[in-house]
Amino acid sequence: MIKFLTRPVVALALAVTVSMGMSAARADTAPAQAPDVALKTTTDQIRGMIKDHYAEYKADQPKFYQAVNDVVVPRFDVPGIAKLVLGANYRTATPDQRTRFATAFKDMLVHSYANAMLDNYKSATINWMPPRLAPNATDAAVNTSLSRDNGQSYAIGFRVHVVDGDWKIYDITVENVSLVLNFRTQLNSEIKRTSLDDVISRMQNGQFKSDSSSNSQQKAN
Amino acid sequence: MGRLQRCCSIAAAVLLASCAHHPADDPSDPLEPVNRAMWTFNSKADQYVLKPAAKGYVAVTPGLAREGVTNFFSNLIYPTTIVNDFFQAKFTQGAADTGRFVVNSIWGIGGLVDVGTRVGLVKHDEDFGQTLGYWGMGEGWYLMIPFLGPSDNRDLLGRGVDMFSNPTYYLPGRYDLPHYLATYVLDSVNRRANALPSDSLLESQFDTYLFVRTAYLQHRQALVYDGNPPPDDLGLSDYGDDSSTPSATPGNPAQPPPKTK
Repeated sequence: MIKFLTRPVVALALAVTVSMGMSAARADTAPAQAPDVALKTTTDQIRGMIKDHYAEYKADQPKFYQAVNDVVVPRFDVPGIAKLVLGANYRTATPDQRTRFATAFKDMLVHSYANAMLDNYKSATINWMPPRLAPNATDAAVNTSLSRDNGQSYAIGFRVHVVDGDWKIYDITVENVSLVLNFRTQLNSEIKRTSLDDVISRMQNGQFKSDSSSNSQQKAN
Repeated sequence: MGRLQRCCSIAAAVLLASCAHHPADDPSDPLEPVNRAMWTFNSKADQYVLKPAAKGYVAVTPGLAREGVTNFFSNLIYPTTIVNDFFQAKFTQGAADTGRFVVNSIWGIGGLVDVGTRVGLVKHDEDFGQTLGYWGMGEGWYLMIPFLGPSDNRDLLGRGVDMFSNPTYYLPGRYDLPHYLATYVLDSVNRRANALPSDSLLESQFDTYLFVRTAYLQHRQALVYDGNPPPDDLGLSDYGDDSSTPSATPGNPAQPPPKTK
């Protein structure tokens, strides 16, 4: 019954593997660089890093998280993603809540996918399709297909836009399932049942499920 | 004829409820309390029956045999794809898919080996739910069906129609126990086995019901557009605030290149 999920879900882990692999080659590259080139260069870079430090990262997870934060996270428009995920709740959130939410959400993804990244960096190859861009576009979709060594392939898409003169990812789609839409649906429902602060602290503690996540009643305690 | 009439009346009812496409993050789910109960039921059935069976199956069956099983069932129901190619006026694709079915059935030893893909006949995925979507019908209500999993009004109707393009429907002894075991149980367990790697992701969701709902609806929408759905604007213009992000142009003109898979 969840057959349709197989591809998206496995691929989601891989996608984040790859996307978190986008290192920050942002030094002086304004969008003179095409978005797919930016993503590709930096993907190769992080994969190289994992290759060189595999055993080290495997033994010392915080060190790997740090590497991901330094190298990969800057490629993401973290405040923008937080805004999109919060949707209508963004307007009512205080600036402090927005910042804490963005950080907690980013950390949650890093922690969730770090192991998948380490375990899969070798088994996947990415085929980049050149995006068709309007001149001076500030928003683009970069499509890739990710092939695993077992022969399966997945459609992975990156939505990027220009922030501070560089391309930053604001959504990832895996087999056309959007990360932003997925978390927007779930988090806004959780916020409605409890509160934004409660959801932020649950993200920080890695406690995704509330007691009643399988039904729509109020939380038991 | 009675069956046909019944189908028609169901179709009319569904049409009324299915006029427009809803965004995946705000779908029409009026049956949510019932659906959630069904999802809990399905999860329990999975936890205690299907998942253990799938794990056992993986443990005792070599990977190559499992691949054969996957190929076999995928080929067996391929006429559904072919029929719906033609329903969507995709004549070239329909011809190629007919070739693929013939090649796999004959040279692929009844479908066990996916020869078609190796000779460049790519696998397509079409069904009557997609056909209805292709001609403009919205998905209607989201539904969670016991044992079968996620669906919606349009896809449920599609499922019913697709029965008639499934060759096993015309087998005389299709409800005999051994045959039923072979086709239904093996197929289900094998599908579940293929989905085992996804379990860890389900566990790290806040609300698995909503996760499955959002993913299912986007997945189906993408299938209707053969993998190239119009990009969702994600409400960028609504939520984008004033200053910091000069913000994205929704309805980005860059269309992804046509994808074959």
